[in-house]
Amino acid sequence: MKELIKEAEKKLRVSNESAEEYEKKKDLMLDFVNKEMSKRKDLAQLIGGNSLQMMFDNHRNHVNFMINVFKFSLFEMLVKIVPWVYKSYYNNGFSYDYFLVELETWKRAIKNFLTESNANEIIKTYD
Amino acid sequence: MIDLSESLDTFTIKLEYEWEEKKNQFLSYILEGDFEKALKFTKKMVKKYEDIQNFYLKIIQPALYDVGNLWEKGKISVAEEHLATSIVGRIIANIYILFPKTKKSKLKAIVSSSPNEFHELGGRIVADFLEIDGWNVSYLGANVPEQELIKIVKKTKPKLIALSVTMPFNIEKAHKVINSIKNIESYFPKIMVGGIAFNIMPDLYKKIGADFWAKDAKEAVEIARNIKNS
Repeated sequence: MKELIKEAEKKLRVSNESAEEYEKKKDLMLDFVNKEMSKRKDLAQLIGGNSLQMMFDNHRNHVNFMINVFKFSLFEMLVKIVPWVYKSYYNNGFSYDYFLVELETWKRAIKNFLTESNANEIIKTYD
Repeated sequence: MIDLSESLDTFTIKLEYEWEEKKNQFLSYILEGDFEKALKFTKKMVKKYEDIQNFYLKIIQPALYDVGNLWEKGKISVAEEHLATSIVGRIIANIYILFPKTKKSKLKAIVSSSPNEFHELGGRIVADFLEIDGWNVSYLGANVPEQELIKIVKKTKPKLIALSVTMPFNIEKAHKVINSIKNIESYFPKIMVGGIAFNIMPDLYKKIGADFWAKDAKEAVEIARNIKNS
């Protein structure tokens, strides 16, 4: 984990401009991700029979958490928290595939709503 | 990240055997939703002022961590987690009655959870500890809106403000509150933060402009004593 933190801190720099645009567009992106995920035919398998609300809460927490990560360069926090989120949701019925699909959807949202240069900078963290 | 999640350690507090056993007993009562048994156990454990600190740090806090871990492992539902937590809230309210009613200091402190933060028991424990230590504490509870918090700070001008943040996505909200407090004219309180969000990254408090970080309620009291004496 220590190596991953070092690597993340070294490689994942996000400018204030990108962080601010991400925060400004958060509602648009959140709405997009919620709608796209809700449309999926395999949703029941992805979220393991949990409520849509639980998934929506996770998306809202995600965008708010990432705002903090970008604003304060909390890449150590990111590396420590994300596995904890995966584990908790997996143990409560979400599949690991859900996270892969969700992250791809966030990447599409970022590309759709952020300017190209800011999107490219932010997406490195999602990759 | 998925691989990491499979080998992840949980947040636990290591205890000596004797306390571990007692904590597990208390934990079983709150998980059963049995307030009466939990209260009876508490009254047996907390007979005098000196017992309170140990009960909070070696029974309540580790039991609450265990409750969170059980949800994370999918062993209990959200409703069961909330039931156990609410019983602990009631227990803490009962312990409060046992506090010695010493004359309060003129030194005021405000203890609050950050905006959007719904976890409140950590802050409540800190508030009780500070009150035991002679502070005149206003405990505001969970999810206090920034504007309301600033209003009460301006009105009461406490020497110490303690903000609790559990969920890392609320750090920015705490940051905004701290900025607003620091922008109040001719007023220079000390701001302390605590909660799991800061325990994960101990240097984080500096990035958001807080003066101190306390890793638990005991440390919060020590920091507050230094502030009192400064």
